[in-house]
Amino acid sequence: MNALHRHYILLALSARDLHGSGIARAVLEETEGELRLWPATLYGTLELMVREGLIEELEDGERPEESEKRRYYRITRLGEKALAREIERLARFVKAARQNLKRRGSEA
Amino acid sequence: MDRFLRFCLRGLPPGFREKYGREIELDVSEASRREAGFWRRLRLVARTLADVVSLRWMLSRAERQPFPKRKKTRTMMLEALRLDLKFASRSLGKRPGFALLGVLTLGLGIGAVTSVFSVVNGVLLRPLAYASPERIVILWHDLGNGAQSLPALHPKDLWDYRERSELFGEWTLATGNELILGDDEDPELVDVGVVEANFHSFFGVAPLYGRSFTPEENVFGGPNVAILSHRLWARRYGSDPAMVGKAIRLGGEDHQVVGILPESFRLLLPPEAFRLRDAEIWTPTQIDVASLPPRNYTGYTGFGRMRPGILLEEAQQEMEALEAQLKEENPEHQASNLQVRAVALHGDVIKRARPALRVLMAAVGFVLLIACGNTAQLLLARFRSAERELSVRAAMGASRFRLARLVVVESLLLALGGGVLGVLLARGGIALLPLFAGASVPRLEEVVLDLRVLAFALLASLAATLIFSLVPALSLSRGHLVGSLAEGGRGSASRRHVRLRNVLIVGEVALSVMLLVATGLTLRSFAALLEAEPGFRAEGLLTLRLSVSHADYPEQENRRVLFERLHDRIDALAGVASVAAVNQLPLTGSGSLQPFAYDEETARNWESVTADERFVSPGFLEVMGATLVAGREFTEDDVALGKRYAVIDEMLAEKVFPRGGALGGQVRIEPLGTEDPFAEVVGVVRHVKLHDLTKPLLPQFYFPQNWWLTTSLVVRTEEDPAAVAASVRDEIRAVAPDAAVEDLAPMTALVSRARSQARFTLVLMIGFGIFAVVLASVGLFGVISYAVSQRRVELGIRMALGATTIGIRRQVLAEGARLVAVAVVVGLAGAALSTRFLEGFLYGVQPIDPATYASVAGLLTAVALLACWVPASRATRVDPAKALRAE
Repeated sequence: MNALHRHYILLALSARDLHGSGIARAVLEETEGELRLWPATLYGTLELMVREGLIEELEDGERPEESEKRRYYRITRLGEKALAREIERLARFVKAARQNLKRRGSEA
Repeated sequence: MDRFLRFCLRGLPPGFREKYGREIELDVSEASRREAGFWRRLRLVARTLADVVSLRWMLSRAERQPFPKRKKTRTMMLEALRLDLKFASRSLGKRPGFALLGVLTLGLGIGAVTSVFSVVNGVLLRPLAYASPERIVILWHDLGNGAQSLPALHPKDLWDYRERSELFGEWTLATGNELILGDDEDPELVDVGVVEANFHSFFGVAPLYGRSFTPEENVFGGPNVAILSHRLWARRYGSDPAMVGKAIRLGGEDHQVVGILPESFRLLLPPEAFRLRDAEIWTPTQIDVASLPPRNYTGYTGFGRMRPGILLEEAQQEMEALEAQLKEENPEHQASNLQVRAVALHGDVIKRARPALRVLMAAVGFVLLIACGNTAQLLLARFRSAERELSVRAAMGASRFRLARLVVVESLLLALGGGVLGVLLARGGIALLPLFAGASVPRLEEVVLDLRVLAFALLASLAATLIFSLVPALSLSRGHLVGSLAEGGRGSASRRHVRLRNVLIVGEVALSVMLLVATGLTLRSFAALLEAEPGFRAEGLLTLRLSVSHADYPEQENRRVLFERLHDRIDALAGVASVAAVNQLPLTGSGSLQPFAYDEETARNWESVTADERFVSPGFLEVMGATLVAGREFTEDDVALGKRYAVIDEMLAEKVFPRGGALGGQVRIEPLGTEDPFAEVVGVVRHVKLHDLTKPLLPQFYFPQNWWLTTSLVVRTEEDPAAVAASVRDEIRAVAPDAAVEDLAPMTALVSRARSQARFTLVLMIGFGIFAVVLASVGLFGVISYAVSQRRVELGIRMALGATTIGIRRQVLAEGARLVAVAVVVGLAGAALSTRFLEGFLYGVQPIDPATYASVAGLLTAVALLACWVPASRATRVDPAKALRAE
């Protein structure tokens, strides 16, 4: 269960509700081809995230009509919070890293 | 898609594959379309294989640690619960029949248990609606060795307590009276409470209008003042606040109204209360201390309020010390061997209702347990059919806890639905209560659906959930579930299932056996009560209470003449056989008592033995239909002689004349040192039950009529007493327009009222019994049907091999019979063990009554076998070919 995978899945779902391969595609695009989610682990991760309440499956009536009976997922409030925490963490990370690098640069 | 890729996907866990396999295949095949060339295809296969392996690793790790500790925050838990609820409600929504049946079963169970609890709450648990009610005690004075035990005392005793007690902060004294309210126009007899000035403030009640009595008004010779009860004020005076200050005519004298009590005040008393009642008018005592009788004349009721923090035992100890002082100082207390008891008022008020309510509460608890049993059966069946879905989840790595939680959440939804339905039913039940409880249960008007009852309903629902969901939840062990996938739903898992359901159903049937035994015993008790010989013939007897005012009929002679005229005119009415008078009718509460003596010791200890006394007109015993076993009734000539002559009952005759010869014998009815202390026995009558239909209480004296202001008439009618009631009333109005006529009703109404508590209990017990049997039969039906469906193949093979229809049916029935037999034995044993619980509640039947036990066993076996009959005959219709093909 890769934390990076989960965060990218949350990121993709924070834009819109998607099915499994839609998520995989969105993540691929977002990471410019760096991160490819393979189907089995993808669905395994989705299943666990549903169980933890980070995301949820759409009900029958809620899915877009053109979808070929695929499972669609939506981010939950809990998922959004988890994502917000990750954003904060990353922001702190970026800030600290920049500062550290800057200090190094000025020392040099 | 590639064969290789397909092969890789075989490696997915089965449950996971079932859920996501199709989508994964779609994704993989899309990927494989994009990857052209051998190497790239090979790389894809390798990646997919790695993907599957890492999935398995991921799932197994998630299973070991379903919720990483770090994330077990509250919101997380709530979110998970929300999901569980969502899942459960969706799954219930998919099976509306199952949900409806479950909610209905539980709703009826919870409704019954909540209704009975609301009564228990209102009657037993809620404190009386007085100021610090838990500190109020009522004083009982016991005389002799059980010769007299009444909540009654002499005013001087109470005044001594007031002066000497340290543990009590406040005392009050009251008695009661019946007086005519109004004059020629619309006279009515009302209960008057005669109370000390602090009486109402003692109970914490302030008048709605006006004021309470002042201490000055309470002294002898004080002014004629009165306080009105709210119901009299509303009924007779149209709730007019201007009544305060006006004069009303009471007992032929003008009284000034000084106050009106609030609607909420009701004086609650033990059933034995002497004279004092929840009166309609209150007047001050104004006791003439100089002319008080000796201290063994106990015409008043005393209440005390313990100081805060004092225990009842401590108060009792103090009363015993005071009792010793009083005995020391007053020879009459010494002689009667006075014993003072301080009794908590609340417990005293409800003591007769308590055993019945306890039994009802237990019974209704059984009903709820049986309802839970049935719901557990439903859930078991439901999860049996949903096992594949659950197996998938288990295989996916859902922990046992997680699966159990799904079961519990779904059960919780059912139970809460049942709880809501139950509360609604209880509301209806409470509205219906007074219809068949009547006056038998005190405080019934205080029974409401309050917060405590609602909390109880919620608690009952939660407890029910715990009970009925635990069994199915525990049966969902993972091994069992995974096994069920492999076996295609048969084998060891289903055997285990059957065993569980069998245990459940045996429990249910056993509980209904216990409940039915209690119901049967209640029924037998009631039958015995119906057959209890009251000592008189209630049928064809009209009774009424007649009161005249002192102003109109000042002398006994005036009243005697009035009665004679009434007697002659009523006697001459068509449909009337005979008429007589008595000072107080049977089954209308305690009356006056007559001490007596039968040897030197009882003569020395005066009042150590006491009897009921009644004053009767000539012919009373015959009109009542009482049985004269020896001698004669009074004649007109005896009447003038007062207590010279007496008719006694067999109980008294046995005590005073153990060797026979009662007739013509002398009984001492006045203490030593009195002139002419004997009454001569002119007749012996069979005991008449004056207080309680269930048992003879005290021996009885009948003395010649003594004309008081209030007299009861008994009219023996030739046909239905109700038919002559109107003409009797007309005759009285014609002769004495200013007399008040009360309680004009057949004697059977009084008898029926005396049975009302037993009837109340019986109606409820029968209801619960039927409910329990129906539930248990439905459960049994389900279990046997299930067993038959599980054995379709086996039955099919047997049929194919030539088993007869009868043989098959007998086999299935035997299976049901085996369960029922075990349950009946367990249930009867349970009933026999819990008999202690029923004692004090039964009448005329032993707690272990072979006839009841046998008929319950028979009835239940018959009903249960009937419930097995349908599945049994269904079993014989198994088509062997079909059954085998299904395999």
